[in-house]
Amino acid sequence: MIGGEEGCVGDSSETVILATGGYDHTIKLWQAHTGNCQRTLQNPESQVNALEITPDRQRIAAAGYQHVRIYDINGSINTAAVNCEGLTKNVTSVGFQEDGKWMYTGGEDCSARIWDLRKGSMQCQRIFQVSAPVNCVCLHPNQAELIVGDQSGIIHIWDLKTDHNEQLIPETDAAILSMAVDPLGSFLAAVNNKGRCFIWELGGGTTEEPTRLIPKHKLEAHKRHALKCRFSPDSQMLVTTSADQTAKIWGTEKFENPQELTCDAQRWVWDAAFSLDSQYVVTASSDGVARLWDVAEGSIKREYTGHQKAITALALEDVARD
Amino acid sequence: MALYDNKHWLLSHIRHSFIFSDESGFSEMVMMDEDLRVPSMKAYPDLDQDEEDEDGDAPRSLDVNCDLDFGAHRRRVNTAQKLEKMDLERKRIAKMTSIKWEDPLPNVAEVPSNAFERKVLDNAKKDKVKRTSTLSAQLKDCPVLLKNPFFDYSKFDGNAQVGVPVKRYIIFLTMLPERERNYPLHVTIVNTAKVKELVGLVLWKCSEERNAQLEDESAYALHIAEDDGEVDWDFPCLDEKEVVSKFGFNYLALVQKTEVLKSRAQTVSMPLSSLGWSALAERDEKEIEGAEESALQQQAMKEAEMRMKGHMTAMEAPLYQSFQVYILNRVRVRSAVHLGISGEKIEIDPVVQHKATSQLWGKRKAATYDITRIAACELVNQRSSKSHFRLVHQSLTEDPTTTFKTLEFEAENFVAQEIVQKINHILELRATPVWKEYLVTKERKSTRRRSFSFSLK
Repeated sequence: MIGGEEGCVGDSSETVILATGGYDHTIKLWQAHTGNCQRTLQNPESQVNALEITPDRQRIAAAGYQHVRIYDINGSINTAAVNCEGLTKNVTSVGFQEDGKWMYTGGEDCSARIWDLRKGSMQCQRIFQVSAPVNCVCLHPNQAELIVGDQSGIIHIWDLKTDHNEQLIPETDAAILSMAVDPLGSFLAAVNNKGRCFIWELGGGTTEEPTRLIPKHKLEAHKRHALKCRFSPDSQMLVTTSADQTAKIWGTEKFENPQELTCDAQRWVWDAAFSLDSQYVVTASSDGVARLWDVAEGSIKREYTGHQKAITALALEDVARD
Repeated sequence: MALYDNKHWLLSHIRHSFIFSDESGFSEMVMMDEDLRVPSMKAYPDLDQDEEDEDGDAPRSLDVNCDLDFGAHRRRVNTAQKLEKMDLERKRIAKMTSIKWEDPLPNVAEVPSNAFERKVLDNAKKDKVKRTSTLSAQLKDCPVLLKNPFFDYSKFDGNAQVGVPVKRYIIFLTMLPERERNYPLHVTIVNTAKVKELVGLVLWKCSEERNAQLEDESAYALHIAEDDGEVDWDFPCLDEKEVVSKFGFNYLALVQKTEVLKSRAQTVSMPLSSLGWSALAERDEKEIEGAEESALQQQAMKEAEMRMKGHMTAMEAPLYQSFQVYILNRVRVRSAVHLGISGEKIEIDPVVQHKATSQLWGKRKAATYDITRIAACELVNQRSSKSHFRLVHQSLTEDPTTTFKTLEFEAENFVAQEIVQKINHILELRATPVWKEYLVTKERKSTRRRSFSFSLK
């Protein structure tokens, strides 16, 4: 899901990209190490539900109300370069195939879609319908299976090649709010609106057969809705965020005794992302402030203020140092 | 020449010719004031309009330069502005590609979709050395920047916001050294911010851009200023709690609050329809100390009033006043009487009763007691609405040993109090021997009772 791998550096400068978006109809790009806001992009008439940087690091996609807008990160144009429309209701999730061939979205219209981004091609265009609003979609690192989580609590695993799909329900009537697969394809994590986090070990997935899910852990992660979960780039840690105003960092060996990231001013933590070496985590909160935390200490190192309203989405693309 | 049959072009040409050739400039003045609709680009269907021509209503002639420096500012016609807006919109939309969702082709299975080939994951990566992060390196190199204390105010900056109504100000910074004072700060702030936040934003910008040594935001206030930077001291500073959108001023000055200003702190808040200086409404906001002061003053005044009243009643006491009370005779039957009290005497006049019973039992005779015979008047007991009071007088006997007789009355509480007070005032003023004697007797009685009780033990 991350895509910015080593050796895949595009025209974009080799800078760390940090973007936040929320209810104030803007997307802000930050200089991560200083805390200064570098640019403010316009996203009129819509909140930002999700942010994702394209694999070539040139553009950023913002999922909003009835559309996905794609902006150029470089340059000075603050309006969207591409507007993907024809959707109804909120688009809750957006992501890219690692080579930028296609884009996937999930939304309240109970569907997950694949958008073919290659010029003049419709080969990849796909749609997958479920019976409840889709809250989150994530792509298995094998680039061939799309995992869809919906409001009724069902997790669907959709094989894009064969169109076969499987379902599992970790907890009935508990909406799945976020899911993540680690970059090595070893775990699937899912968090729901009861604050629980489920971990499965993933087996197979390299051959033609569908990925096997082996239930591993059920964590009482948070006291209230859990909003987001994400693995670190080195697969060593998992961050879960919640309406209980905290973000928690779990080690992926045992998934116990999490490091808690919390402070008085922080409200609902909607999103979080790791630095490449997993030393730092950036959180986005509904108090309008994004914060950079030292994972080991659990302390705040930088704050990114400027949004007038809640920040509900975050995207971080770190750069490797050779 | 082929253009001469295009009436729009012809009209335009005639106008330009007049403007250009008239050396006195009157034609230009006259024609610019005319409410002539500027023809839009579409009105020249025969001509190839230059797409780069942004100025919609500029004279379409290379010869004519339109600088109107005759004092009359050129008013941009509405349509011209609309055109500009439309132009910008068009450019914006043109730059944005639109991708509309199209449902996938029905025969998906037949198409070899190598787009969905599975990628083989290299699990050996697990043991790979941890990747170094640029972000971490940058954070290390960049030590924790001393957070600007006014940083929180930076979020009110209008430049960082999109689509939010903003207000622009030119702020003169009077606390800076002389040479820097002439360069005002241009500040854009969101409409919804308060004056206090504007002060904070100005201080933040000042510290960021000018590297000034600044104090805490409470030490500064904003005053109205002239466009040359001179502060208008006639008006007090802008009220901190007012929303910025209320004020219509563009030039403000940031001033360090002096002790005097701080203590007085009479602030000005502008009404919504402020059109400048003439429409000021002064709202008095008393400082807490000021309010306390007035409260103390009021209290003192009240006390003085009370004392005055007391004096008055004492002085008024000898004046004749009549009360309606009930006299209680030995059989405990009440009969209404008029009690007339004056500095000379006390009169008791029975009220004429028509009921048979009261006529039988009630006191029918009027009585007058000279004040020299009155010994005391005191309240006996007080019930919820009625009180009993007693009038002690010397009996009219030739006997040298004075005996005291009492008369019991009943009246409303306040009436009784008034009567008792009045009579006592009079007695004090007159200081008759009877009064003094009675007091002494009372004293002796109380002491005797005490000693008696002692001996019993």
